[in-house]
Amino acid sequence: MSQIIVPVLLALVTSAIINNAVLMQFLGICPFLGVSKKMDSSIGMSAAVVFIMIISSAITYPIYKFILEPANIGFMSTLTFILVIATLTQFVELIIKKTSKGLYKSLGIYLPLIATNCIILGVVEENIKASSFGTAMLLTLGTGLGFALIMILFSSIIMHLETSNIPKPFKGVPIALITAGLLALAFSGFGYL
Amino acid sequence: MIYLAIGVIIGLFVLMILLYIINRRTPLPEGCEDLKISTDKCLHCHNDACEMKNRAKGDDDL
Repeated sequence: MSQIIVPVLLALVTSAIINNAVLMQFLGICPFLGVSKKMDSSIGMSAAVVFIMIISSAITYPIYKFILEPANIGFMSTLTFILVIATLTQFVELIIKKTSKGLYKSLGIYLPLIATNCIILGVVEENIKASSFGTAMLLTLGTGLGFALIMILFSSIIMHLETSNIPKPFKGVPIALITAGLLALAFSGFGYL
Repeated sequence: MIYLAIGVIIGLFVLMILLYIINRRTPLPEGCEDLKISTDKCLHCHNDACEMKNRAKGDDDL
């Protein structure tokens, strides 16, 4: 049993914390700085990103392994993946519009942002190198959880900073960037575990 | 195999355009017509191609 659980946990912890996409690879910085001012916005954006990320990874991995790679046109992967992500974003928006008013109210304005979010493309590009479909999905889930963790953590810090006495030149984006840098420094410590 | 790959790419492109058109024509759910984009959330972003940012910029100019 532990032969299954240990690699799964290792893959999740590695992709979520040690090799965090936002703090270590600088992917998804736009929503990280732009949407993380309020807790509910952060949770909404994270949920939408994780959802699209998992589905797009589940579609792009077989497309690459069974169609693009055997046809020897692996260089077309970026274009294909962009098309998959854009199609998926439109599809998910359409389904949410038709089925759930509540979900559309909370996620609706974030859905178009996801199509231009580099973290999704970065993750699917990275995960095609995984040895199996299961590993790719685990790494995607871990990266998504890592993104959600950072968004929620950062929004709580920003909310706290808004009530703090900060010198005028550091207010707003400068203090957010300094905080992000310190957070990245702290997370880099996990790499030595 | 190469024809299948090209077919898949073209198929994805056509599907994306179709879904975009259907999505635009689908009316918004009741009560969601006036979902506002907060300017302070979007204006920190440097992605000038983002539709949300441009809309936020427009709201801010007004």
